[in-house]
Amino acid sequence: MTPEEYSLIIRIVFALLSIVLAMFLGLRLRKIIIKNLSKFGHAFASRFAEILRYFLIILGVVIAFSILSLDVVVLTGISIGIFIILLISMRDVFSNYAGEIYLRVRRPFNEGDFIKIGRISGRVLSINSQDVELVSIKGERIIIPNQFFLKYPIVNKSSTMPTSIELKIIFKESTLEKAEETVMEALNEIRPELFEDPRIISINKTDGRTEVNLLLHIVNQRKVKWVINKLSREFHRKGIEIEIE
Amino acid sequence: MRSIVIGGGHLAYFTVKALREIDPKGRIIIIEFTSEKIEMLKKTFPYVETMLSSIDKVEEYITENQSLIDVLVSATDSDALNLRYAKYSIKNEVPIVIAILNNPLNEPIFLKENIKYVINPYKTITSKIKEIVNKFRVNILYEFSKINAGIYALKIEDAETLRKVQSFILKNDLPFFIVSIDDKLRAGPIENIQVGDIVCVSCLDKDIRSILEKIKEGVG
Repeated sequence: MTPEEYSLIIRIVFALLSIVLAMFLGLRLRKIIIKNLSKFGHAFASRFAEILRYFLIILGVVIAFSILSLDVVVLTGISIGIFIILLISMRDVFSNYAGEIYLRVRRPFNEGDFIKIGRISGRVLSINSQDVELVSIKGERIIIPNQFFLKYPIVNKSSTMPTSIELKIIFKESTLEKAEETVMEALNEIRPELFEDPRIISINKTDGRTEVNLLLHIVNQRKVKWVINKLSREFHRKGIEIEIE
Repeated sequence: MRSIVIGGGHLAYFTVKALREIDPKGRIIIIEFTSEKIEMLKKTFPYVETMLSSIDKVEEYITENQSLIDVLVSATDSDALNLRYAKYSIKNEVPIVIAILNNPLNEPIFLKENIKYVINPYKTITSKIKEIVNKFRVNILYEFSKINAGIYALKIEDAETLRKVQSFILKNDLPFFIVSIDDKLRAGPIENIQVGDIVCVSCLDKDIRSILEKIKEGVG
């Protein structure tokens, strides 16, 4: 066996060893990470550990290539290039993962909580790796990418706190006194479904129309639609034309 | 507020009274499985609505009314049913779901199933006996349901415990009051705490565990 052949065999053995070592370390690290991060959710810990494991394996492969005397500078350049391209093309995915890490570690809210982020508010149905699913007070399902939680302030109103809702009822033809009386009668019908007594905040007369602003307290946010429909029906039954905003 | 109480036994009695006190103008609907109990409930609570249902039809009712139910209290005399209805209600996004235990040993099962509000009516037995017999290191007087905190009584048995408790209160800036050896209530200051007193503090449960460890281990 020539010295060159002998050297090549040695380098192949070391290259294979570096890959095996990287795989072994990756598995060990995976177990440690899952054990320590499982308090933030098993799925999250597993995913995070998998990413690090693959990173270690790629590192092992790069080292193996360098042991085989391929140009380290070129390899490093290629690796950095691939990494940058990946980072740019998947920046939203990565920032969503970063958002998930923030949500799991900081725990600004839990599933079931009523939150407000930006102009969106609703109850949290699920916290996922890429997004958070909310249900709005109108019953719409809203998907918010996790990166939003890194950019905007979050207001967490506890899930069990009654939500205060302002409603504006516009009477096309009515006096202030008559409007107030009619509203109070209609409110009496829906009172058992509310958390506490509703309140008339203001009554104004503008351009021949009477506007009544109401404050209602509701525990189940999905009830708002029902409350509005019920109020509309009550006024319709009395033959009064109104608009609700 | 629309409250649903499942079960019409003695657990439901206290539940309905509390719900009525919270919201006297709200709707309370009791779902029961026997017509005899329904009749009795109508007489006892004339202000509640009652519904006779079979065990397997309750979920159907929850599904149909999920957007209108504000509070659901699962208070049957079977923990298996209470767990089943509580889990189903949470899945259907009922905002407040409360399960009342029949057997306190089942509490971990409920907590494991993510039932956030579990009432263990037997919990006061331990603290009451400790209070009456007046032999304890730490007695849990009250535990909050929404936060991991409570009101705890710490017995000052010796000068070492006194020093540790004073340091614990000062370090965490805790609200406290003192029950003296002659059963009189006193407010602070902290220097007034004496050996033989019981100090009642409000703090996080992890903090009370930490001070208990220190008292037990004799680590200052």
